[in-house]
Order: sequence, then C-alpha cells, then structure tokens
Amino acid sequence: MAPLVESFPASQLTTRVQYVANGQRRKPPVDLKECELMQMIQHRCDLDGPRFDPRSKVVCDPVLRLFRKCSDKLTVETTDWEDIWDGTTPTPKEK
Amino acid sequence: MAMPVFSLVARRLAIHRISSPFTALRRASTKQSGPKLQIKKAITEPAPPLLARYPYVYIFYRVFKYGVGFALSLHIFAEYFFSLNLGQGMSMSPTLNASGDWMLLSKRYRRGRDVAVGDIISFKHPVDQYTYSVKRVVAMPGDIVLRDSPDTSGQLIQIPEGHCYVVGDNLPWSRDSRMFGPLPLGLVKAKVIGKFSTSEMKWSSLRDGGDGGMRPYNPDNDVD
Repeated sequence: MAPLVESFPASQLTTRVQYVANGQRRKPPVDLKECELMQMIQHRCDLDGPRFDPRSKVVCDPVLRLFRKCSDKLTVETTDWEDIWDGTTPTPKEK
Repeated sequence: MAMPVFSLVARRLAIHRISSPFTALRRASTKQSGPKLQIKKAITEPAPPLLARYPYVYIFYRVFKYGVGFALSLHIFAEYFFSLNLGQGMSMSPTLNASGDWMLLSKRYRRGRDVAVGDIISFKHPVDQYTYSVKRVVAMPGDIVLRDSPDTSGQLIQIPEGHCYVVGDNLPWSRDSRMFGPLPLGLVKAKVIGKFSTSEMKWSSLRDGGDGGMRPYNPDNDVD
C-alpha cells in the first residue's frame, strides 16, 4: 500500500508547495500565481427515475476542478485555494 | 527375348560352378575363430521424414505448432501493444458509458510511463487483485491534490514518489484513490486512447483525456 502522507488545509498550500515529495526544499521556489491555470470538469451523475425503467435517464451535474500547472513535473490542485488563500482577497479565518 | 535371359542364367550357373570349389577351399584355409564380419549394404535413398510416415502425428504437430505460435503472438500483442476491452460501470460516466463502450488501450503507458495528469488509465485494483479499473489521473508523483471530492473536507495531500492519484469522473459513484489512497504506478497497465460507443456506433479519441481532460481555464465554465 501507499505510504502514509499528511493532509493539510488549503491555507497551508502556499508554504507546502515549496517542498518536494521527499521533504526537501524546492529549488527554485514556485509562485502558484505565476503558473498556468488549468481546469478539469468532473461530474456528479445519477439515474433520474426507477432503476429498470427504460425512460430513466442519467443526469450529470458538472464539478469544476482548478489546477496550477507549474511545469511538466508539478501540477497543484487549487480548487479551494483560488480567490480564497491566494493573497488577492483578505484572508478568511483559519479553518 | 528368350536369348538374353538364357545367356544370363547360363553365365551365372557357370560362374557358380567354377568358383565354388575355390571359395570352399579358401574358407577352409583362412577360417577365423572370431565373430563373422558382416558388411551391410549402404542405404543410398534417405527414408521419408518421420512425421510424413505418420499423418496423424504430422497434422497434430502442425496444428500444435501454429496454435502455440498464434497464442504467443496474441498474448505478446495484447500485453505489450494494444488491446480492446469492454468497460462496465457508472464510475467514468459521462466520459465512458455505464455499459456498451469498448476501450482501446495502449500498453506503451504501462507502469505509468509518459502518463500525464488528465489521462484515463487502466490499472490493476490495489484491493481486489483480479479486478481491473479505469479512472482518470488527477495527480502524479510530487503533485498536490484534494484528498476527497471538491467541496467536502478541503484537505490536500502531496502524492509520494512512485504513486499517482486516480479519481473517477462520476464522483459519487466511483471507488478510487479517495478510498484506497495513492495508487502505485507499478499497477498501471495501460492508457485509454480511444473508445467505441456501441449506442452511437462511432469512435472517439481519448488520447488527451476526452472532454474531462486537463484544459486551460475557461471562465465560461466557472458558474460560482
């Protein structure tokens, strides 16, 4: 199985992104605002109606996920970070 | 016709008559006590091949040889080049239908070689060893990604070396890395590069991840 990894809230993303996976400091440091903003659209789909009814249809709601692509080696998900913790707006209360 | 036959017979008889007393004499004088030396006549014509003498063995051998050859080549092609598989399940809806979608898998991407964020991959399930699963890659080693679905816990994790994070397109119906954690890249078997939908009877490419793949940000998609 995968090794244990520590989870952290989006408020720490700006500092955590300065470290690579083995714990060493990233060189050169990255600025997430400089990286290209990317998106990925996922869905919440479910069957609308009874299960074995031929008139039932699968209905999907889109879910937008945002990423910052800094290089081919580093992609950071910033769905909960954009416009909240990125420094442009006044920082909200720590979760 | 009768003349040469007669002369042949006569000559043979004559030789026999003349030579027999001498040979008898010689044998008596040079008798040896050891085993008699026998010289076999050399076989000038080669025997037919063994398999040609037994037709059933021959047919069995041919069928067996080509059957094994065909099975081996098919195995190598399906394991290291391409394969076509029928997918099943709601977890990749709407990119892949719940049933009736054939996927073209490229095995060049096995063990995570050249896989990028946004690709759809096929991997051996880390919990159930006999199941293969198809999900979308949202993070590669060193990347930072949401541990759970968006708008739930908001916790982020950094993916360790040699792992990736896979999430199905249909978030509530998918059992993926949100359940079993980062996926070892060694379990990745292929990348889905195309699909054939039997309901629409048409091919579509999934080489860049399809409609749900990684794209530059478009503010029109942002409804919040």
